[in-house]
Amino acid sequence: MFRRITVFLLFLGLSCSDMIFERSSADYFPLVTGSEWKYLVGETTTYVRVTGDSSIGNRSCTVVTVDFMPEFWFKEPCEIHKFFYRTISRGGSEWTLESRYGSVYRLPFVAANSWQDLFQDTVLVLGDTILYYHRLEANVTKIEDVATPAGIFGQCYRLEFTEEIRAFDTTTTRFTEWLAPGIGLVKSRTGNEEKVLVEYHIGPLSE
Amino acid sequence: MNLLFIVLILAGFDFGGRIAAVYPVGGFGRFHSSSALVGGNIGYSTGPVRLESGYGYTSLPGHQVSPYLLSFHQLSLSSGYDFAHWADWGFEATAGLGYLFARRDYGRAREEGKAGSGELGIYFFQHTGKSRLSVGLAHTLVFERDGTSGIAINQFFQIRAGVAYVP
Repeated sequence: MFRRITVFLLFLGLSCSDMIFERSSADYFPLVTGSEWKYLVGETTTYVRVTGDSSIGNRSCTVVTVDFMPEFWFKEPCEIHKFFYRTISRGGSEWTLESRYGSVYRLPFVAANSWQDLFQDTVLVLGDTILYYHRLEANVTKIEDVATPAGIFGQCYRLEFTEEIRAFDTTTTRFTEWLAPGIGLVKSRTGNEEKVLVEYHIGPLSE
Repeated sequence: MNLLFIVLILAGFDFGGRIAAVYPVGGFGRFHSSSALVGGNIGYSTGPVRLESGYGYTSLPGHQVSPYLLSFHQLSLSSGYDFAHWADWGFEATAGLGYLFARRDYGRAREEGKAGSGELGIYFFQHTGKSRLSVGLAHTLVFERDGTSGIAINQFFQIRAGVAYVP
């Protein structure tokens, strides 16, 4: 009798799970030095690499290169931050509008969660006062499987972002990202442009 | 007559409650802090073997000041073997299976799900008169499967104490 109940519970456990604990524990944005992701954007190939640690904005961070252009990120247990740096050229000089870490992801992901990161400042440029405003809004809309040339990834969170930047004019960008457990970004879409994962490895390549 | 019948039915059974400190480990500890578990159990002893059906509830908060919470109800069925005992106390090793009904909350966002679990434990127990006390360690493995990810295992430890009434 006990054996039958055991077999039944084992069957029930494996057949009726929702991966809720796996989503609770997975790293959806691995920033491990040596990791590399290769994406296809139309006909163009993009390489993203985690190259190592650095220090910027008075704190240590991880350097991620996107086609050799560096980005600076750091992770906390509840948030992932990116260093935002924007300047304008006026009168032959560079003027800094934004130089700070902003919260891009709030962890752990839970479907239907949303957050926003807001930054505003006034910058005096050649006697003119510029009101600078940067808002990044994110909504975790779905959990779904994503098929890419690199494989089919289950339990992906679909995040829909709206980024609004106001300086001299207003720029609003809407984009969607799919993040897979243990892998990171597997697909993104901005307008009609789609970026899909082709190859990846997490951590340094073993020799 | 009825009283005798009830005594015969209840012979070997015990009913009690349990509390535990829950420590998520491995990847599961990435977003969850330790917490307390409360629950109850019904046991049936026959010789050195003890069968137990249990229930426990816990809610694991997120790290720092995040409004995140993972809570779950755990139903379990386990078998224990009293491998060493002296007079009215001894040591028991247990193995069992369970089922968890979980909920994740982040502010107003919510996810619900379920998963199977396996549990191994080792307990010190003392059985005097109509009471049975136990203190021990339990290691719970939560196993899940989906079409693309294979079997995923997460785990947590419990330092558990229980008290039961033996009719």
